[in-house]
Amino acid sequence: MGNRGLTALAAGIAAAVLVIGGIGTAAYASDVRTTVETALSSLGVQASEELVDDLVEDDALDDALEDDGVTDGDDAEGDAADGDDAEGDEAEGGDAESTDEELEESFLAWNERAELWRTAFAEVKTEFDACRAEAEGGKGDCAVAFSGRLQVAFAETLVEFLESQSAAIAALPEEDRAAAQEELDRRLSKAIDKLDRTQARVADRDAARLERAMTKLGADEESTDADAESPSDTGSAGKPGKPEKPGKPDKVGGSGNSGGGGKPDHAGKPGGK
Amino acid sequence: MRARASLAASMALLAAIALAGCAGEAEAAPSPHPTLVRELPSDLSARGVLLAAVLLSEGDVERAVADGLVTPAEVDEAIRAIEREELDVWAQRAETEIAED
Repeated sequence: MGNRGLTALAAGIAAAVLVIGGIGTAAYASDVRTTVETALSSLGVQASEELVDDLVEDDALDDALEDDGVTDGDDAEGDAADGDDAEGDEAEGGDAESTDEELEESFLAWNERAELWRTAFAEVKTEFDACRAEAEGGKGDCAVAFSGRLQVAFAETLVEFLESQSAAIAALPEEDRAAAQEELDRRLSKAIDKLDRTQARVADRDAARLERAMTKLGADEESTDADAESPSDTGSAGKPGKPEKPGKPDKVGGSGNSGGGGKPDHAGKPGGK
Repeated sequence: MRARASLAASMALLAAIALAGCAGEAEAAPSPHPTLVRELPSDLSARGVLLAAVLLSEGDVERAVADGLVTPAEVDEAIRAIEREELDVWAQRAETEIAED
């Protein structure tokens, strides 16, 4: 009897863990899915359910997707009201949010922003091309820097677009203006917030990458010194500089990135705010 | 005899015209986008290009490459595709590949 009770208790706990785990997983998966869908949509891609399913099935995507509300604990402040930017701060979920998101979509039809975005993209791309032209081995670093710039540019276009809507509001019938202006102000405030957070996040990431690169550079120098100082056991002391590390391969992970990581100067694209 | 030869020649001509017409029709069909048909190297997949594009705009592409989620080639291709507004073609290819699996 006692055993039966224990078994039942264990089964109950296991079931509860499974249910809670399942809910958590489902919520998380949903966040990732929404982020992927929104990002694709922002990039002009209409993906089927099957394709999105396929894209989100890899668990590693959770880590690689930086959703301010989910991944960055220190960004939690203000997120309750910040899940609805067109680019995908939508992690928090909920009915109010999805309604808000719909509003956002109608308010910010992509086509209206597209030209702005393409211009921003072209600027970023020019820098990216220059970076790649300069970088001999570490082209991956350029892509990483490009990604950061792209995210900032996304956020900037949203701010710029919203700022440009004041004129449209002025053209509205008088009775609608106040409400529209209030809505615009609210969205602009959130967009600026998002831009700030994106800039901070990208700057942090750049700084971390730079630090890693410096650390690695230091380690490489140390090992080179050690190689030079240590008596050669093969008798080839005359060749300390054997080219054993020919241009580390295209590692995006931050090695040799005095070029790629060194692009934090991008953060303040003039005219962003 | 001459009439027969002329009839044969006419038929041959008609057949040639018909064949040429068919060929013309076949040529007129829109050719698929090169991205849809080209053979991809082993470090490049349509799915990876789309993921890279998502990560470029919303995630940490550096981490994704480090985790093996996407390859540097896919990141490069994603950038190119965004620039040329061809991501939808990659999506089309990915959809086709999924359907074939």
